[in-house]
Amino acid sequence: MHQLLELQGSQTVRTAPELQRALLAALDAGADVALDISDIAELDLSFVQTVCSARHHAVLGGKTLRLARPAPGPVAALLTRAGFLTDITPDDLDFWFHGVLAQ
Amino acid sequence: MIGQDPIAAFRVEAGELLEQIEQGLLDLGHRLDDRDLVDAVFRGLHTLKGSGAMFGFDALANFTHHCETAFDRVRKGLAPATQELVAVILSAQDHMRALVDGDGKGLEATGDAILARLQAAIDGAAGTPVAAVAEAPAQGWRLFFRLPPEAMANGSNPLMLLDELRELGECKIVARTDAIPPLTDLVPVECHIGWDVELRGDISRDDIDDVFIFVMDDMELKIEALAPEPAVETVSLPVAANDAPPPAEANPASGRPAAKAGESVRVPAERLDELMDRVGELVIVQSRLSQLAHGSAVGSEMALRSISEEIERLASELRDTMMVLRMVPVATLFGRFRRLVHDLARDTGKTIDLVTEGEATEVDKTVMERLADPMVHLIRNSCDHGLETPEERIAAGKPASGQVRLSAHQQGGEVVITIRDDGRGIDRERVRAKAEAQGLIQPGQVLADQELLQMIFHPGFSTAAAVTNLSGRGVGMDVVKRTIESLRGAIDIKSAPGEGSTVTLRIPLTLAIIDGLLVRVGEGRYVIPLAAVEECIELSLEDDLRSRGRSFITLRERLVPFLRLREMFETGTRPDPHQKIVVIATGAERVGLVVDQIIGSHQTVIKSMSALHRDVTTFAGATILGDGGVALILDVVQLVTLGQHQEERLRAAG
Repeated sequence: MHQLLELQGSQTVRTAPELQRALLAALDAGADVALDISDIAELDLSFVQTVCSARHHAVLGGKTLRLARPAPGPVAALLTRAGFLTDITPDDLDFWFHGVLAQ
Repeated sequence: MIGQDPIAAFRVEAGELLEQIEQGLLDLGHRLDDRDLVDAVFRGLHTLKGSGAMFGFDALANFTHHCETAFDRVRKGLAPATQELVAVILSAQDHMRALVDGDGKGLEATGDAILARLQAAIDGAAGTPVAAVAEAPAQGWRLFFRLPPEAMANGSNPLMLLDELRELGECKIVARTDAIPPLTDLVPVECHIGWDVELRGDISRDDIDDVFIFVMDDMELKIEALAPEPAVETVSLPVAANDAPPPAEANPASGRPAAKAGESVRVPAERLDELMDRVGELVIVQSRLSQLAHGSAVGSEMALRSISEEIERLASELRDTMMVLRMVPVATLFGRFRRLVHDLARDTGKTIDLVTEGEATEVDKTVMERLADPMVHLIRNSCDHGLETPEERIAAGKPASGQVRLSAHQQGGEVVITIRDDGRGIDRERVRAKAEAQGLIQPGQVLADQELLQMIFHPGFSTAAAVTNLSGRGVGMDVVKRTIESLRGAIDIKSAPGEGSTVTLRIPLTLAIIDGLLVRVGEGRYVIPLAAVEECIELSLEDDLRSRGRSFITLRERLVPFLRLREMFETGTRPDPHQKIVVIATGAERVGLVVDQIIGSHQTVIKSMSALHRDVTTFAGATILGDGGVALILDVVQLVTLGQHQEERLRAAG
């Protein structure tokens, strides 16, 4: 039984508190949370940071947080720009791109 | 405020930075081992360089860069701060000012000369030629940085910094997420991501610093040079905790208003709020008034009176609030003199302490600007003529270092500024000899001490036996006096032989509004500044007839010349049967003005004369009376001079 959390539109420092609440609620409610970020149009570092933090949180609570689909273009671009994909760990690669780094 | 020229804004900011640097350097001159001061100066230079480069002042940025590098070595303890270094950077700072004000053309030679001296100072201080170390070209750099948590909320975008780093050269950036707190503890607007960066290429340390210039203060930053250089250089920011706040955010309260150089005043926001409150109240009263005008309510007379009272109160409050807006603390004025005294001490070889008091006293900005020159002159006089050399002082049983004390305080509607030194005092014998030589007084003439001292205000008067570079050219005290009087102020001098001199300046708080005595001459009305009025006496018809042709009255056994304003202004009217004489004075000189009627005291808002009437001398301005009529304001200084001329003419005629 998993929960699906769909994120859309703009995910920036302005909406980060909202995202944090949503993630906390979802992780409280179920042991397996899937994030759908395919429709995110705009994002900044705070989004990546919140998701990283949530992953950490999930591991500590023995829960699973995953992406419903591999990260879309804009997210991948930001991850590249912010240096998340240099020397990427297998773990991160699994999380963001389901194991396959798009070229 | 909108469409501000950024260059002009930069010049204002740079001016402030330079002032801070100068103050820091002057303090440093006294306390060479003060780390906080070194840091403050360094950061001032650093910010100046950064914003200079940003606004296209490349010459400034380059030049400042060298000074900053020198100071950086002091900051890191690689070289001690020395008097020589402070002196060089002070002169460098003057050069920077020139670069800020101009485009740097034709100044290269000066700049190079200063840099050469700077290099010498640094080398001398370190004992070994070490200039190369700071700028050692490395193969590249390895750095780790984490921004201050609030950086994102403050609007810096870490991604832009990363992009800038990429522009420097070949760059490998790895994000570090280990410091991100778990979701429950995360403050999502804070940034906890850190970055490891490897930069390869011919990149200087300063290039990297430039990237972080705006976030540098609280960030975590480790930089080390990449192999093969074994040297490891680690700088950890933040710097000392009790450091002065960085200039860029020095005064959030005053709101960093758009300041165009020269013609703008920085106003603390709360004062503007106060003004806004008053304006708000005024709008309310205005709407009450218009309601009253349109309606025909019973008892409207009462309501009208209450509105009138309200407006009267608001007008006076608005006036007070408005006047305060133009006020600036004298600290800014006093601050300028520290450098002056520093330079004077160096040029004269004396040790001079400058002590300031009452810096919080506020003066109208225009007044302040016009006070600067006379004060420079007075301070020069004190330092050059007043204070003795250390040897003379010790011989006289005084401490070796002389003291110049500036103080300011408010007294009624005036600000009193005193310049006091503990030097040798004014040499009365020399003043007397000089005055006799110039024919100002008769040999052997008996003079009150105060009158004798007043002699130094005569044009061309100097008691200095030798004309020095600094003062003693005989231009000065008369100009000082004239400037102070043009501010409607007064200058007073006291001096005790062997103990020093005190010059006291009394300046009205504002130039915009004065208390005046409203008088009538013929059919016109005129205002005489109340501060200049000594007394009013009646000129009886007999006295008037008797003194015709000889315009003198005897006032407490002294002859006072008087001017018949009716004749001067050619009113063509018959004199009033009960004419009055208003006696006005500046300094020790008095003159009477014959008027037809004294109407009373009048708060006068001064309107300056139009360009067409600029060369009219008898009047200082005009004002609008309660009934809408115009009254001219008499220029007291001019009239007194005129009266004195008349006296001399008559004396000459016998």
